[in-house]
Amino acid sequence: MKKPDFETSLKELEEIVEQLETNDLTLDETLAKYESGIKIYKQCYQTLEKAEKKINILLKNSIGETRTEEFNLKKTIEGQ
Amino acid sequence: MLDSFLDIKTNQEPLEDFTAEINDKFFTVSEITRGIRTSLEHKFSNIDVLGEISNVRKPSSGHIYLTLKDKNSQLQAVVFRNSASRIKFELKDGMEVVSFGSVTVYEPRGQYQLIINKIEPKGIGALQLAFQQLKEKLEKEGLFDHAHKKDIPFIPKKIGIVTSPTGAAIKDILNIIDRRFANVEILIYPVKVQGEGAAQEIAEAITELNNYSDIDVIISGRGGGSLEDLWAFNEEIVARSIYNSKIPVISAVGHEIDLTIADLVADKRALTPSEAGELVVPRKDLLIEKTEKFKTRLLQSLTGKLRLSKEKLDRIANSYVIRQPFDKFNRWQQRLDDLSQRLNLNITHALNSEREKLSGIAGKLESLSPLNVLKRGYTITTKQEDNKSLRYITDLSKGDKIKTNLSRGSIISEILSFERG
Repeated sequence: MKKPDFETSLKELEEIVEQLETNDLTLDETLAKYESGIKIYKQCYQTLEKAEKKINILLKNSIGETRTEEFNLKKTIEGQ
Repeated sequence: MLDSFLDIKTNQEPLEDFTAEINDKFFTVSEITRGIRTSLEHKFSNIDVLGEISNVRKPSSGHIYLTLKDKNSQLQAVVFRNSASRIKFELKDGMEVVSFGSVTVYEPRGQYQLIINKIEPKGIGALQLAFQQLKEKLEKEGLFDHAHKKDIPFIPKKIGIVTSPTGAAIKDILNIIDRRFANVEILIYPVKVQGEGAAQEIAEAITELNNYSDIDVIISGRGGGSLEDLWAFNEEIVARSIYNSKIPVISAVGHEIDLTIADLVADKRALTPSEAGELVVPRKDLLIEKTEKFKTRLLQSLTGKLRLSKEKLDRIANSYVIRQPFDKFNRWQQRLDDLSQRLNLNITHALNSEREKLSGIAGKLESLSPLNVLKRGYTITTKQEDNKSLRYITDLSKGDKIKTNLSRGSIISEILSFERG
């Protein structure tokens, strides 16, 4: 299941908000749109927050085997 | 002159010993050729020659043969393979160049020539010329075409960075990303960013990162430096690996003024490594702000709508149509109140006017009271026997006894006679 990307979701949210603000919807329609709007809002929030900060560096040994290691900026600058 | 034959060092075959055959009468062809060669080498070694290239030939041996000429003369020249491989730009007929090398004679042909060790274009640096040439070539091939450039993802899932792990660039890139959108995944592929083999490493890095299915954008670059320092990013092999990359590539080399071939091929050019950090991730705080604002507006719309609906409902509840039955009832009640009030008033009025009437009559009655008449001096005479009042004399006879009431007391009299009146 491919989730729509953040930009698309944000645009959808904007559309719903505009519809709610300018159109003369019935109470039922308003509630329905509000519900789907909140759902998209939660998705957007999740996309922004769920990823974890991770910085790794790829290291290769003499026979070409690779491994990743956590990258420490301060350490490498000092070691230079 | 013969002596000079003996102490020359060349890299041609060692001198044959001609001394046995030399006589005074003639030189051999080889002798004279060798003599010419020696003289020329002696006089014209390690010199710079300015001339126009013509008739460039590049056989598969790797050596380059060309003719240098000016208005009046020409000079055969050769760049041997070792030197040729170090030339960054392409030799083309008509180019004016400065060549550094030594003159010698190719004895088998009796031809003098300039062996070029180093060659530079006149009026422009070799590297600049190389840049122009490659740019033209790749542009013609379509490597810079806008249609081929891919979009950079708005929020990347994993960023690949091809750069030196100890240079200035990686520090800038990581700092900017950390400020804008810290919770993102980054994989650094360390490479040499200048010198021998750098272009190869950079090209390989970009190609290999394409094997990581979770990487959705690559940054390749380095900090500032001279044209020589940045040269790896102007090499064809790097350009081609960027072009062939399925993952979009952001090129971030040096400063704004340093335009490289990599910048032209890349899907997006960052003027500096810092700008790459700005291009690769959006500002998370602004996105959160925007999202929250939408949520607030959603909620406001809903509460607003609820309020409107409630008002509408209230209005309907208060409308005449709904209120009417209550209205009628209220009206009847009001009428009742009204009537009962009027009733009270009327009764009071009526009582009052009867009272007045009564006291009026009472007053009249008072004044008509016979007692009052008596007080005025009148008397009432009645037959003594029955107290009947007398009006006609015929009611009486002589000798009747009558009672005369005065206001106080009464008189008893006997009738003596009558007078008609």
